Amino acid sequence: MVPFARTQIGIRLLATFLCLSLARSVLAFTYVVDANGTYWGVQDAAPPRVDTGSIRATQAGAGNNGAFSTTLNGFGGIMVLVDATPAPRFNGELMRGFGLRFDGVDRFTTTQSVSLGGVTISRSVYVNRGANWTRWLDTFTNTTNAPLTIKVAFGGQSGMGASGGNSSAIVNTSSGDALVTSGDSWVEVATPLSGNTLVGGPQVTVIGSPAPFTGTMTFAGNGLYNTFSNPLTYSGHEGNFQGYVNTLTLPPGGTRSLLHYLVLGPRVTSATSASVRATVEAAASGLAAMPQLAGFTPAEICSIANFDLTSISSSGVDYTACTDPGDVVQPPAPAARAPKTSSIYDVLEKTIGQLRADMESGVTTSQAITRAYLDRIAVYDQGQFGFNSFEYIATDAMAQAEAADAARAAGAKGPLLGIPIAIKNLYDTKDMPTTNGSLTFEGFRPLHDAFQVARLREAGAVLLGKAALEEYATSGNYSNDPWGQVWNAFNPSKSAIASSGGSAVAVAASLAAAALGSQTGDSLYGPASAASLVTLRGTDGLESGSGIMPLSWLTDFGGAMARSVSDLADMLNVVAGTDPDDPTTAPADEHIPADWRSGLDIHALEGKRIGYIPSVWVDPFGTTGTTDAENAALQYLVAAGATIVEMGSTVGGTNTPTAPPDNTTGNTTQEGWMQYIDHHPELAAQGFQIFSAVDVSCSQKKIAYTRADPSACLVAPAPRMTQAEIDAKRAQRVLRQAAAKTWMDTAGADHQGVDAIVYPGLLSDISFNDGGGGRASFGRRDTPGATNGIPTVVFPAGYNDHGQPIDIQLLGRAWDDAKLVGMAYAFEYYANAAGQGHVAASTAPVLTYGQTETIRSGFVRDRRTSTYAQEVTIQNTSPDPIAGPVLLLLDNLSANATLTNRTGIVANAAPTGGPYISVPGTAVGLAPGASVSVALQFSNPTNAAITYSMRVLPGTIVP
Amino acid sequence: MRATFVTACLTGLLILTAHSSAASTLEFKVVVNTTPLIGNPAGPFALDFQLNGAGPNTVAIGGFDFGGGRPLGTAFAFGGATGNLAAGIVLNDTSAFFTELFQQFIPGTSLSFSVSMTTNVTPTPDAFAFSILDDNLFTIPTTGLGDALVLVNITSSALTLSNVQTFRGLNAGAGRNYSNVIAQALPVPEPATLVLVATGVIGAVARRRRPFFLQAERRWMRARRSRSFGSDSPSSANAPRSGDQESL
Repeated sequence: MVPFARTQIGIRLLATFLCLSLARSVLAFTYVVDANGTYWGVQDAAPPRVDTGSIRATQAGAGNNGAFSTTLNGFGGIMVLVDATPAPRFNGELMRGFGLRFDGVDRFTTTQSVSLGGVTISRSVYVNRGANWTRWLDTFTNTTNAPLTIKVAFGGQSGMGASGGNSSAIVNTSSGDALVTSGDSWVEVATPLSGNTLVGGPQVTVIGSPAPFTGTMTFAGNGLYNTFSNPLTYSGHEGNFQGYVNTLTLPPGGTRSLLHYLVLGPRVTSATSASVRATVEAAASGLAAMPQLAGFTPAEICSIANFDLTSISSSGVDYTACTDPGDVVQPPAPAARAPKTSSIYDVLEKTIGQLRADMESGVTTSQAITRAYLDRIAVYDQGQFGFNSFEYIATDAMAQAEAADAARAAGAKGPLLGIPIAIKNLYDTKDMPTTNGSLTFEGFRPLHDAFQVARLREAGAVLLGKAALEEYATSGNYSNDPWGQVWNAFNPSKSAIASSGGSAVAVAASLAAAALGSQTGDSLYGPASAASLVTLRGTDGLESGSGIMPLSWLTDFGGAMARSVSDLADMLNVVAGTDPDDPTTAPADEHIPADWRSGLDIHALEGKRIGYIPSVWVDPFGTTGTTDAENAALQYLVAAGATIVEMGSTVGGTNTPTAPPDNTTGNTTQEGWMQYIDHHPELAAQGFQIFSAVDVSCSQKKIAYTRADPSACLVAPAPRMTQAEIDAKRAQRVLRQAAAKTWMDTAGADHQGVDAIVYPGLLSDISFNDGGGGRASFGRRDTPGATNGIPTVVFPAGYNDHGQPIDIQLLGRAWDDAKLVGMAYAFEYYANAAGQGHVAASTAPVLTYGQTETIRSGFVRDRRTSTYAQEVTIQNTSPDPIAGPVLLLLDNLSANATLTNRTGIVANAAPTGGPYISVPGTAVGLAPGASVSVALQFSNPTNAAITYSMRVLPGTIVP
Repeated sequence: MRATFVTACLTGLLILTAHSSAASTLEFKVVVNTTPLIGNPAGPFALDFQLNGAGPNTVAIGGFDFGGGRPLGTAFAFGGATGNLAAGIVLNDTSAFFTELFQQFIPGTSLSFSVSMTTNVTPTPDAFAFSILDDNLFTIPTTGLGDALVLVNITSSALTLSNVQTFRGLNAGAGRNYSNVIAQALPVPEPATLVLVATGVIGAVARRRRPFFLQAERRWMRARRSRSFGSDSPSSANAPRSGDQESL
């Protein structure tokens, strides 16, 4: 290296270090450090905006360098259950979206309350750094005119697994029996000791004054599922989840609060455990007897329901002088978006095939479909309880749809013409930002589409937006996109898994018809399995990696995620194939079918031998409910004509392919990024200081807990790989494929081989989305597909024992992709027939059609006309005009009333039988933003109440 | 003076009976030019007050000033309506969807009265309406919904004067020109709430329960047939005297 170059590198490293140090001080804001040196990672409104107020994890240092000081894995959140009919959406789920703002020292305050079923909820969090505890005050106000009873579960996940260093267990309670009852004021959880090895410190939750105080905890629940009715478990994986439930009765306008503390000790050894536990237990006892209330307003203190007057007064407060708890200040909750769509076409659970058929038959248009998805995104994906599956929505989505409709009108056809697709935001898009799920790349605008994106665009698909992902698609447990961590579509308190969590949730919640995701380890399989979707990690080179930001070059795979196997085939018909710019794809066109749908044969499994390796059907967490359900689903392989063949070490073989000797060298991460950088001069042109993989991994714009210490980044980037090294790496992947083929060719006790090998999907229930700390959010089972460059198709198989969707997987030989897709289709046929295939999420129900907001007046009895008069004002709140004449339909009109000025009776637009009126003055339609009023006249001889529901339809509909 | 006292009692009752969550009441004064009604062949006229909906809401109307005119005959009430033009009126829609009270009057140059109402919000808003009826018990035509002269839709718990809709009459032809019958809503001074509550308590203690007007409309029709309008007293022996309702 020439001296000049050395100098340049040195200057760059120094500058980088200085920049990183400066940036760190500005951006590291979710940690609060206590006297024990514990870094409390609080899930506030800062990226990734989990915003539950719970503790993600506690560490011995910041960022990704600190060991974990306890086994906490998402603790301190609240689940709230309102006894209301109908039950509000997300009733009983983990509350979030408080806009929790850090004061820069030790407090987090709510900036926007959460509204659930008429209850306004806010919380404040305070970390007492000197005393090593955190305090939560959760406040609830009944905003309705009737009394409400609510149940609040405080708690979360205190460890992970059934045993070992990450597991936890209840070891003591205030009554000394380690059984949680209403007679306890605190509960202690600890980690198994390991001699002189430091393990996680003890955790004590102070739950309030014990019985006979009437405000005491009412139920100790299993924090993992059915918390309000399922009792606390004391062992196994579920023993790591606690929900301490209080029941509050709120009068109209009434306010009550719950106060909890969490006392933590430092990491312990066998020698230090007893004294540390004694210390934290004493602290907990002190807080239970004399709660620390500093910083609360008198009204807040007076609102506390779970500590008795004696203990509160002993804290130096004159409880008898309490002011009205209704004076507790709670920021207003944002108005919820009305669950309405301006599209007459319902896209809920529609497959690509159904959408295409409806467009081809003229039932609908791409514009109506796209509008429907956009409206669902606005209602379900954004706001306090939004799934956050999209990071960015295409501003020209409707224009793309209009172009697709025009193309169809001109005679164009195609599997994805006019179909809205979500794109994981590590694919380049020339018209949308590409961020890799990180603020590191915020605002980056590639000049060109990724190969697969370009194929979609050419096919006339509507590129609906960029799906959220795990930052850099790294670890596979949480899709912690900084613009909003993705939440599970089926169990909305749980993780969506990663890194393609946004893509999966977008499809599962019917926010897009299908999606592009990607996988290095589990990022297609995991999120798809959590969302009852189909996906394919294809043979290396089946789909192009051009224009996809890398994680582990040559192992990364960009693939499709869909609702059904036939939808997957439609996607593959467009995105699979040889890309001249990606040498790995060179053989693709020789191996793929002319039409992937041609392999969709319900007989595809007949006579097939499906390998089964018993050891892979074991959950590392020790649970069996999920794998039992997945094992039961194997019956549909058999029903479709396949034979299950035991293989692996149980019959003298191996459980994985024998890896060929690997003498290759070179850093694929660095090479992947350098190739990406070489192909994207616009990165530098747009001001991004990204010149190597180190610049990416050491960015101080990363989420605080993934951020590397700048001092660890003072290393020169790894050298580029030589062409010989690259060729060797590619050859090694081919050798692995060959080894896998040999393994499968000789599998089974008879060594007759197998056609494919079946694997379970997820092995356990998924954990809550507020956890982390490098711990798994689910029992994971990767097939050897990614490691060996061979295909795995993943497809739904119903539910597990707790109502969580499950998938199973089939692994095949290199370029067996089409065969695997066919087998999945056959399985799907039999499983769906039994109701055990793809299942639908219920958390994002159909939206009510309405381009409008309607306002009703009261009723006035007009003695001149002997009718009741009522005025209805209709405003077009959509961005599209409503075709005239606008029709107002009255459904379920009470029998005592007749609409005397009706235009007719609804005969076609179900529900039928009700009157409708053609709104005067709307013959030419109703422009966006315009409003019109119509007077209704009702005959009502008995003077009884007049009730009905309304629909507004465009004149293009025959009512 | 007596009417004022009774109105205060009614208002106090209104506050006492208001739903516990009702944070506020709406109070305003209505003024109507009634000169066009003087000597109008469509008379005698009646004032008509309605409160319709699921409730619970209560409207107290009192402080009538007839501008030289006066109440006439008996009030006819339906649903949760009580009172009369002399003593004041209370409309409560807790028990009935349709609540109405009307009573004839001799118009003067103007009419004014005060209104105090609760503002409990329901999905389909309760509506308070004031209209004028002609000799056929037909509402005189106006620019308002259902021929109302004053309309309040209870769409918010924090209604203000701006939410009070006022209208004007229309020319119905045949000598029935009401186009100069114009309603206005004006603010009233903020009441001394505690005083009103105390007065309401007194009123409540002094209250004497009276039979409900179950046959009110039938009596009205009998009275019409007997052509008794224009006299101060209804001919029907069953019709209560207006003074009987004052203590409500």
